[in-house]
Amino acid sequence: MFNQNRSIMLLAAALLACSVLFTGDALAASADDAAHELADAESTQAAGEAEKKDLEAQLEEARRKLEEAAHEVAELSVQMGRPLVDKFMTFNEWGPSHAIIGVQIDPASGKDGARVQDVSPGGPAAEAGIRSGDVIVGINGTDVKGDRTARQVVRLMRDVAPDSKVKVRVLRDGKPKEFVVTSRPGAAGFDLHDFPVPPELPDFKFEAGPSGAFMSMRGPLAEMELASLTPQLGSYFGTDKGVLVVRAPRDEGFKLEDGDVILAIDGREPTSGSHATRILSSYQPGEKIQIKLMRQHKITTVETTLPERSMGHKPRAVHKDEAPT
Amino acid sequence: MHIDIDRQMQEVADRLRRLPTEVEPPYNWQEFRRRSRSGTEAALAPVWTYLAMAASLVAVIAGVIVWSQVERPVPLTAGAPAQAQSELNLAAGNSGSAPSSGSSNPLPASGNSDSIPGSGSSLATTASPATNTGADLARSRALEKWLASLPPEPVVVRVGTRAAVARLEDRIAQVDDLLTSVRLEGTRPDGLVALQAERARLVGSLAQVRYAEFVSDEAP
Repeated sequence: MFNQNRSIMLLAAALLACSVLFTGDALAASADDAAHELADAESTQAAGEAEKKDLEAQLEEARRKLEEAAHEVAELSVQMGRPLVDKFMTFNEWGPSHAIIGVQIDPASGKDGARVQDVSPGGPAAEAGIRSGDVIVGINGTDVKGDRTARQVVRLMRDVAPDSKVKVRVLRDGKPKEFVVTSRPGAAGFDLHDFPVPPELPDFKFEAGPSGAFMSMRGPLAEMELASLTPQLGSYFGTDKGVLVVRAPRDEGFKLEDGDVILAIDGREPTSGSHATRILSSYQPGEKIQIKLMRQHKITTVETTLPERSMGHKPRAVHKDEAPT
Repeated sequence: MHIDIDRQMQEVADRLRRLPTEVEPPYNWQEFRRRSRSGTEAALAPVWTYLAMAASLVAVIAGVIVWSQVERPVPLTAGAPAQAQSELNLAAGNSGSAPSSGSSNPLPASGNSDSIPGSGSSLATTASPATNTGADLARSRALEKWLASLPPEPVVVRVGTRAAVARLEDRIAQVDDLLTSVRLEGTRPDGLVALQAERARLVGSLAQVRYAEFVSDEAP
């Protein structure tokens, strides 16, 4: 009986040993497979990340080209029409406006007010909500009525300074409405950093530059990304006004950081990304400006110098026989 | 009596056994229906072929007629949205017979240089100044309608592109200011036409730049 029990125990021990051995082999094989799979996964992930980075770089390059093309379209379009605009800036008794709100006034407006014939797309009036067909009945508290109402509006606008708030009262479908319009510089105060039209010389032609580019908002500042503050974003960043810097310029000299909220630029309070862009565009490269910021819930002011627009090229006159550069 | 009956029964059974084995029908009802349908289709196939050929011929002839009609008057803007195109036709006094390009490209008319008086384009050489003004106005309106359908600015503004947009917007506002002045003067109809054309061109450029901004903003 004892021998029989002993045999059974030995058999059981042998079976246990075998199973342990087999299990160990299986575990080792499994671990080996897992290690291979992990290595494969890591390799695939690394390849995926490299591909993603490559695609990101390509996208960034494509964006840069798109931006470059947008600049050229804008600059060349403005330059093309410049002689015409210059011609009409000086011919009439009215002269060019210093401040504009971006409307065309119907010269045949009635005595009730000056009818808005057209609104400039993206202009100050359009931004404020004025529509074509509205009848302007007052500007900055002065009534517009009686004879020659269109001329009255033009005269009243002569007293308005660029970048100032203009209270415009209108009648829309007979109902009064009031808008606050932020005026912009007119043709008289525009193109401060444009170049004069090159003279027409018989032996010279006009060359725009290597890529046909003119000076504009380029260089490190052009890469900056801004967002208007929503109430939620504002409460997160600790301010109810300003413009959020989503991506600061890579140029550290500009002293802006991601997550800053621009509260004011030289005292001018930007209300949107577009507004901040317009304010920044009004400075010359190399000019010093003070930017009031909300940084990590603390108000701070940085003084910075506008970076050079390195990618812009001044137009120059070249001899007609000279090969283009 | 019983023996006779038994014999008769036996004969009936023998006769029954001698009968040939019952043959199953070649196909059932479903198969019959299927073959019936396919037969009908086969019979109709030549008819459809002839109909398709006739329709293609009619389409080709119609296409040639329309193409010749489009070529005779001056084509407006290739690639403009259908709605904008029809508006251009209406405003330019065209009865609207010109077909749209059918393009769904959200980018409005490009360039618009063909509308500039004196540019040497077919439009400039064949259309009167008054027609030009009408077409320029209509083009501007169509493009402005498209621009108005866009949000005022992207959620995240890229300063470089926005500066280009702002530059064009400001210039258009200045031209509008000059247009008011010229209208008040009332002595320069040629200037009015030129400024209208300039405005239309600027609005076209603005649409292109905003389109670029829109595309860039939509990218991840």
